[in-house]
Amino acid sequence: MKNQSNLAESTVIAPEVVSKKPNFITKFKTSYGPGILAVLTWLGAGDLVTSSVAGADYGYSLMWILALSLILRFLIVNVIARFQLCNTEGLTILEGYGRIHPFFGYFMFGYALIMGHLFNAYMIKGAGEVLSTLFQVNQPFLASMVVVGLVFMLIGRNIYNRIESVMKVLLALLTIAFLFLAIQATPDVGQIIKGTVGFSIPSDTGVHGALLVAISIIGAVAGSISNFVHPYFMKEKGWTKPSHLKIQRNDLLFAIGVCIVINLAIWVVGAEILKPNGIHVETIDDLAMALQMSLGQFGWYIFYLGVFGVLFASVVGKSTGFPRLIVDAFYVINKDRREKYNGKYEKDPMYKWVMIFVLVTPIIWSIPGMPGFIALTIGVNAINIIGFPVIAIGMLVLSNKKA
Amino acid sequence: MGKYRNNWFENIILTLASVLAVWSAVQLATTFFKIMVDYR
Repeated sequence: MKNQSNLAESTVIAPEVVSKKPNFITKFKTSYGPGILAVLTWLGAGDLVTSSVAGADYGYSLMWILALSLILRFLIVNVIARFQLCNTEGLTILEGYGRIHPFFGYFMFGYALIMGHLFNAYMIKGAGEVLSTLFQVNQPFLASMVVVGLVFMLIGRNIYNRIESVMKVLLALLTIAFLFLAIQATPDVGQIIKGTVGFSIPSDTGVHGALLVAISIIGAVAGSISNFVHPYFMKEKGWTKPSHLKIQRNDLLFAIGVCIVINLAIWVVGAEILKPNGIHVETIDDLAMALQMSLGQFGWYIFYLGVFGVLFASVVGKSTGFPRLIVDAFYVINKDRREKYNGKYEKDPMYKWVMIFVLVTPIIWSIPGMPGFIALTIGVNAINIIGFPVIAIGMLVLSNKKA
Repeated sequence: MGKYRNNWFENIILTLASVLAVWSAVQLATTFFKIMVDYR
């Protein structure tokens, strides 16, 4: 099975790996639907930080924003999937955007270049902070440089497939820990329902403004560029025709259900454990307190290893996925270049230069004195909102075309 | 897209979400510049 994800946080799988006997991940890919695979790319530091900050600072009063964002995510991914399954020319959504107007090519190129830099900025910073804490060296900037160096060495190599599997196991352990804590904390169901239908923005009582947190949640969930990943997983699964519409919708509903459970669990931990103890999430260590208080040293290790797994895998994913998206967008602007390299990004020298840009330049955000990991994560996810209208308008045009 | 075009509900939600996103972006920018002015 060939990995054809363009924007995915998944990594390049070399053909020689494909021919080997199926490992756990390959078996997982063949037996589960594209929705659950998309969930693995959707969930990241953005969800972890925005949900926990919202819960710890504002209880359940911003819960309606999460509900709205998940409804929007379902709608957007469903429209993209339907476009992929039902357009008569077999175009991908990006090719479709390019057909509307060249502006979309220029926009996607610039937007993805900036967002690739900014996403990696908070992830490299976070991974450095976590690594520094795990080894107790108190050198987060140096640790961030180590992370960049490691990613640089591992990208595109077969060994990374094994490392990525370990990272996903760590992510699964972290998810189970959050679910366990959320159930143990006996969440206030009445307050959750009240917050879900509350439709109000509370006054700023937390460290981060309520509106900023709200916009950040929408950006991390509904505005996330990783929503474009789902069609590539669908293609790998063999869902390519309008007859797959029903199964695709049900699979997506299941995936959104998984998202609800995981985001809710993180939120509950923030609202029921951190808030009553007066802990505001200003650093990663504050977030670790929730697991440490309930599960002791074991919880501490699960948290830091899990968060490192999420961040490291995301840095690799973004550093391979974003250059593909950026070069793809450039091909919409410059069609001759696409023909020159036969549409194969990896052969284009531009791909490598963009990858270096996306991976190396974000290190400036790790220099001591720059905004902290939590503030950076919230800020960058909020910036997602700027690109959302353009993407949504393009989607409206594409999905309403008669032919 | 033929018969697989968006239904009215999807169009309304996508349009509203776009308007909301523009409003949010303006609010964010306004707050940001206000903070910068206060900081000076």
